[in-house]
Amino acid sequence: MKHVLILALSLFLLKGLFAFDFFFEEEMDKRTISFQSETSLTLYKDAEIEPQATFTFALEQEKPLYRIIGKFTYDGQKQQISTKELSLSLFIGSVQLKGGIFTHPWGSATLMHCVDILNAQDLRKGILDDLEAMKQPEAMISLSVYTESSTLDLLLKPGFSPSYLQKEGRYALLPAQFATVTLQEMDTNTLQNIGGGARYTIRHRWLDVGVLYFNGYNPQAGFENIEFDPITFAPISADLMYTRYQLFGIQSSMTKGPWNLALEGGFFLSEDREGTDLGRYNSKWTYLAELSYTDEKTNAFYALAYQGHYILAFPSSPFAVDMMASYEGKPYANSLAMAIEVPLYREKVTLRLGGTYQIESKGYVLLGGGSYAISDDIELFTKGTLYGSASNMDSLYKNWKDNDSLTIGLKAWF
Amino acid sequence: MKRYPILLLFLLLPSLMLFGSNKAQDIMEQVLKVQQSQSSALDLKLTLIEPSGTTRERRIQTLSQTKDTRVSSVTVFLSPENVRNTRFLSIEEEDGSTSQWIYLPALKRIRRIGTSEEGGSFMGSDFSYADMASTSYDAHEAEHTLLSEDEKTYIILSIPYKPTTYGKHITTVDKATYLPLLVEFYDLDQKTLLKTLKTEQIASIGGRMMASDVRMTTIASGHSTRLEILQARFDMNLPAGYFTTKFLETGRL
Repeated sequence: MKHVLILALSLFLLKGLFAFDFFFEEEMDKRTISFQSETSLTLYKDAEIEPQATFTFALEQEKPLYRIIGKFTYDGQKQQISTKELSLSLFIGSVQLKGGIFTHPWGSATLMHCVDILNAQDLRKGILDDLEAMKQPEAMISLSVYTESSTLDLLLKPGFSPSYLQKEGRYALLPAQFATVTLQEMDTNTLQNIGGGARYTIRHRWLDVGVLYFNGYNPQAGFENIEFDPITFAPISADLMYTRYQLFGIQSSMTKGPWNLALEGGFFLSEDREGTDLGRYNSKWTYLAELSYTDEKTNAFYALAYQGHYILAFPSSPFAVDMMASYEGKPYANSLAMAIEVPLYREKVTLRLGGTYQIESKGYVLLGGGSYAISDDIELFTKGTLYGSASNMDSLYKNWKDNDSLTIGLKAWF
Repeated sequence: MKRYPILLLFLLLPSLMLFGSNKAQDIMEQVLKVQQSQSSALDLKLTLIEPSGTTRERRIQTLSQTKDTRVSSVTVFLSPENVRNTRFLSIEEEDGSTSQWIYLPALKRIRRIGTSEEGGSFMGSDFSYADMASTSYDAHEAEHTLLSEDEKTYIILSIPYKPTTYGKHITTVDKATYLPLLVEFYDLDQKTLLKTLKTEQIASIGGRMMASDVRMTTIASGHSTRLEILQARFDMNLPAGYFTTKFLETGRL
């Protein structure tokens, strides 16, 4: 109901029809309303067939001083409306002030990120080939100050949205020992959980480089007050808790001809500096390098990325969250990712292939797909996902190995 | 991810220059001169036409300006819907290199992208990135020869000194307007005709005569692309704010 009211309010605000482009002497107001529908059938490895139908409507109101964006998706299967974005931006000289519910990306790479931490991940549909689609929009305020060759980005989050913790179902995330545990969730969207940060980016010829800082909460839950069954000693209840941390990071992107090298890295300084609180995540280093190449003749895009992290004061208790999230008790984790995208037949057909390999667990996910533009507004698409592991070590990829799937669907824009 | 173009001053000319004292070079110099401007704003429609007659449309608007012989351009993609509001910025640096950034609305971020001298197909059309790129080339890039002339036209052969995509161009120039009426693009072997660019209409737009409706045809496939200039303005004062990553990210000056 809340979403319906928000939508009705947005529609009320967005009245009038204007135009805006370079060719008017003065900037004019503009309103754009667009719709996108996506219907698909997914066949899983266990023979389950899952139909899906989503309908996205976006409203954009432009005036010289402000922009309002409302973007909502209706899921026909779940009969739910979700807000993808509801924001108001003010433009004053070289300053943009934006507030509302939205996603705000940091980082310079394409396939993976290690400093893109402002929005929690949404893994309820598994691992997708679209990083932005795996983010949860959150309430925040951003202030961007632009100069000719630099941008200062200030962010304030009045609270935070934790990562969805699927306890059961196809894409369950919880460790096996917590699958039947009663979890007490906390309200994280309060001013007590305020977070904020800044990023300063400069551009010089072939190089973009940015330094960033954030002080807020890790959206991944930890556990405290764990109660055990006195007979089986299995955990039966726990309170969810979250770790406040500071991130000191960098991002950069440099080009040479058709090549692009993106680097990201950072130090997450946990509030549990000594690493003594089992329920909180410890401090860690993270690092990422991505090399991509765009073929001049075909416009095909190729990318290879490496990402890793190293946790400090790594705990030995099996109930420490860092231990639970690790691969066989190692304080480090390293992953490789690759992606290829090839447009064919004058961009009527696009083929995509991507994959991630987690080195310690030998777990992997392969994503393949293609799309065919029937017309400018209708696209037929198919995609396949393959999870697996070359070892018996527990990992998300191994746990989801029965979620291999093949999807075929249709997208339409209006 | 898509590869986006080095856009665009004005297109339609074979990318060959034209210095020297012979008649062909003088003609080609005049061809370039009538279409040169310090700044321009173009509203373009590309219609991709299959051999079967099926069509698809793309709309773009582009601003460009030349300052101290360096070209900056910004392009906004208007349609189709799935690329709407994609914005592309290209800035020629002092050392002659080009920096390019793209803003993808779906990703909500600016990405620096690599540059290409030639590029592949522009938005799936029969125009390559090179075909669409700036015509402000350095001198002595091609040798021009007058093949023939009649009452209304000159026919000129242009052979680049450093051929990359094309081995030669043959251009039919309208004597009255010095606009190209037909350009034939040949392969590096200088024998195989790859593409033709035919002017369908000449009109006065933005206060000057222009080839306002042209069609590029790829000979081997029979596929063609019609490019129409819907609106154009020239030599106006463009705020420098258009050629910044701020405009790329916000769509605002």
